[in-house]
Amino acid sequence: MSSSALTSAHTRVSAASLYVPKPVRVRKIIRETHDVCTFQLEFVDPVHAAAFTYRTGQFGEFSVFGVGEATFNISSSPNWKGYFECCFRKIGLVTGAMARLKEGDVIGFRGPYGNSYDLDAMHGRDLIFAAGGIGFPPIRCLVWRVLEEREKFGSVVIVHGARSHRDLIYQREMAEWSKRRDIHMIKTVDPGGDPEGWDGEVGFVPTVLEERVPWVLEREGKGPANAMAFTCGPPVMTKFVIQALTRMGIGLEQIVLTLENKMKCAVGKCGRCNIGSTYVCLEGPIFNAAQVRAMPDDQ
Amino acid sequence: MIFSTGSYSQHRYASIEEVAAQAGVWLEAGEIGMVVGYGRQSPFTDLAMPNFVNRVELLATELVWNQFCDYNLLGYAKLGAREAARGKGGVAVMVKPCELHNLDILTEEGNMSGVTRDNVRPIVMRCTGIVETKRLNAYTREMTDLRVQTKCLDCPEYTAAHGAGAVAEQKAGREDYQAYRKLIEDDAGVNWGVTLDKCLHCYACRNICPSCYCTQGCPADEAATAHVTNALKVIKGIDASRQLVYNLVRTWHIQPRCSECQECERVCPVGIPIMALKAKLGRDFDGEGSPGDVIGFLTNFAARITPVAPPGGAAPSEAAPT
Amino acid sequence: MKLVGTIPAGRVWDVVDHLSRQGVRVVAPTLVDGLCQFAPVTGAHQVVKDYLLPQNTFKEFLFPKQERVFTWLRRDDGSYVVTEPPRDFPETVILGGRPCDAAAIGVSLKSVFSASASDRWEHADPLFLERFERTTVVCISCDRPDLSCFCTTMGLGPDDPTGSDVLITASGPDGDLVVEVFSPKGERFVERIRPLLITGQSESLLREQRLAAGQEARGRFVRVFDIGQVKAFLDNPENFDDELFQRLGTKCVSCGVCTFECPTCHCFDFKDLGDTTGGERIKVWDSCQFPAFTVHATGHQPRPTQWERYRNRFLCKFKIYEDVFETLGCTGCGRCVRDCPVHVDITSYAMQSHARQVTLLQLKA
Repeated sequence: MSSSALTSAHTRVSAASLYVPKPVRVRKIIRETHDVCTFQLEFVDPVHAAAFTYRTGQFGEFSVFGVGEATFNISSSPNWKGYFECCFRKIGLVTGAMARLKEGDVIGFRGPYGNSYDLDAMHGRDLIFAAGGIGFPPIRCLVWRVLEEREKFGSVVIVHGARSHRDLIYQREMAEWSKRRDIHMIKTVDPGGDPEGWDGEVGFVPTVLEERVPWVLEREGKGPANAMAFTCGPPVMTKFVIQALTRMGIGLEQIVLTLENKMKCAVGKCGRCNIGSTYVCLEGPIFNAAQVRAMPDDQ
Repeated sequence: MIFSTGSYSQHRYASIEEVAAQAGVWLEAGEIGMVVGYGRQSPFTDLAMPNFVNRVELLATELVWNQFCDYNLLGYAKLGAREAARGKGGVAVMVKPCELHNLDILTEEGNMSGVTRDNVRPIVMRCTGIVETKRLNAYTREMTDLRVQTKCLDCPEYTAAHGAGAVAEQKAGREDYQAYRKLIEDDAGVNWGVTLDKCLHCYACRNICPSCYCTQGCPADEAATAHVTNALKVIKGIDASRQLVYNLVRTWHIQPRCSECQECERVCPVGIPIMALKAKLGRDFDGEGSPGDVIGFLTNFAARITPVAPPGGAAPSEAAPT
Repeated sequence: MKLVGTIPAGRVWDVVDHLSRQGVRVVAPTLVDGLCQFAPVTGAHQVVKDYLLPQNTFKEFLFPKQERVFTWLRRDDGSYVVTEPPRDFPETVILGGRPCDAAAIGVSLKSVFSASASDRWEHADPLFLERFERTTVVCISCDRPDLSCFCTTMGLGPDDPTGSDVLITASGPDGDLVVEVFSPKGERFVERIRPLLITGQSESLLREQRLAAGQEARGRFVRVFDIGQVKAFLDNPENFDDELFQRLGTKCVSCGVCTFECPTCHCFDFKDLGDTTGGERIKVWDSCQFPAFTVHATGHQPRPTQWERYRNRFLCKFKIYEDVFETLGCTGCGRCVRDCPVHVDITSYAMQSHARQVTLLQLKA
């Protein structure tokens, strides 16, 4: 007897398994620093390309066949057509293998997953972006998205930090943004990471943020009430960024974080990204600081 | 079983009162920071859960000693170094006489394990045999009579307590003891492919092992064995299962430190005869191969143990029955 | 629910031969290498008839401990052919499942691998669900527990039909097996075994005898305790760092026995076998008790100590499952209690959490 399918309301099943990646070709590799690369990717199959859409802040699972899968934010703006980007630091097995790839090589991609930034809620607000190291890509996609409709937003302040000037990613974009009059671009490196002739700040991101940003906002006649802050970086950095922002009078609901927990499935099945009862892959990765504060200390 | 030849006190503590009296003195004098002992698991059984007691007044009530105290508390011996680092001297550990050999191993390799005769004080219990606790919670109905572990039958202290004649009789009457001895000598009846395929990769055998003390860099951990499995496939063209590689690497690696306490076999949820595998490795590879050449060793061994599809499908075989 | 008749005492395992002849795969308690496990059988003679609870759960027939997700092959031009294996899962009857496993797998585990019942996410895992659709769970009520069983405490019971397609209960003076059907899959099973069924008895009498048998079995439970306040205790974020977690959790030896034997544990990992030219990705069981489970590539470890990892497991069973998947996280099968190498006992956590909350409430009052 063949089994007749008895599909109940919530067992909708797609034709392909959830966990099978689609081949994407590495269109271009940008070596951002000695250990950070940006990949521009395009789907090998035009059908996949046509069906692919994503929202700002979502993430994906990137596979090197034979090595494994890793989770990265999609660091490009959804409005860029024909390709999407990811940015990673060579740190583990998968990222090590990715760093050895050449343009034209094929990797696997599944996604997009997770929630996204609420752009409508940002309209008319003054935006503070604060990120450190490899925490910048999840912020960078939003920066570009904001710049596409610059007129809809208030002031834009970017604090971008790294351990040393060698670790500062997106240097060319930074230079471009520094020239713009509608962006306040602040770059900083940790003490000791500044070479001779360094033209940026020296200090940790939270410190520089607290020293410089209130001054910038004040100069433009802006206060904390209408501000929104976006941050991503090592857990210890984000903790101090939140404290600094709080001291500046910015409420927890105005602070938006991107959490980066270890994930394997990205669809709420593999059970490792949870913080208490919150599955970061399903409800995140983007939360406001009030939500994060309410989570147990399991990060 | 290998028994300790180290010099330890011949005194045997017969009761918790005795343990509490001695450990209380040590605790008050600041010579130890806590007692690593057995405590009651739940109100429903006499099983023992590990218990760490650091207050004198709790010693007599929080510790237990009975025939269900099966596992080896020396697994927690590294707490001794922690207590010592806090200026508390070390820990006292309740041990059975048969476990002293593990303390020998841990102190011999003290530069790596952190265990010294100063920071771990054995409280050697008078042991008259430990029962097979799995039988308290029988998966099938027939296995409910309690009986001592097979290793107890080889123990000199058990023999002294019960008389050589009675123990010899027990040995002759216990089919499982006979089967165990036979399996150690001759594994011809074991289909290793099927047996090792049952392995769940739960690491209970590794984590319970009282001679295992590393906290990182284990050659049998997930990443290391996955790497070896892949290397075997890619370099040598050998399709060894992850289960096979894990069991071989672990058993092989622990071989020189093994006290044959059979804890790995006791805790294995799927009943892999690990001691028989150890004996097989000892027989088949005596003197061969270099200790560092894992791939060479596995190539050699995997060729002898070819995974076979189990009849009826013990592993998740999805073929419809014929 | 429909009571469809009885099978005479001692004849229930004839179902195995009957179904096998019809080409159905039957999974039943059997001896695998000396161990009582759920495994495929083809005849009644292979079945362990005197079983309480097999060592494994039948979850591995829906969510195998290792399964191929896809294979890849690199072509000469550098592109890849990615192929999924065919999902032609055989029709399977789990015969002799127990109510704890049925509730855990048929309801809880299914809710993890399904799209959210309350539309919180739409991801459904076809590997699980397509097997599930072809699997009929036929449970036999327990007539007694062992020392580790605690399903009655979790709100289920030895004759609870949750998650079962068919429930068979030995009852009445002769121990005849009363057959009850709970789903269309169960109906089809009954059609298959029709010749073995005796019908026409008084339904009310059978129902009475069957309830009495269930009551009698419930009365035999030893591990009975109150968990009424556990969820409330865990829901309060202030209790997250309660000393009880650390006190109990440091005893855990960090193996994965409890998670791999648990019918509701669903965590898995992907592994790549082979190399860039060709190979397969497999989905394998993983355990939240392993240190590598949550560690980030940067080395950041959200749960650096074992007691934190054990706390996560406890929370998962008694809180997270209910919050996220809206089902029971623990059904009281007791395997984690039974097979823990050092007899760490999740029920003692539950009892102490309950007691702690009761004390906190009294202090407030």
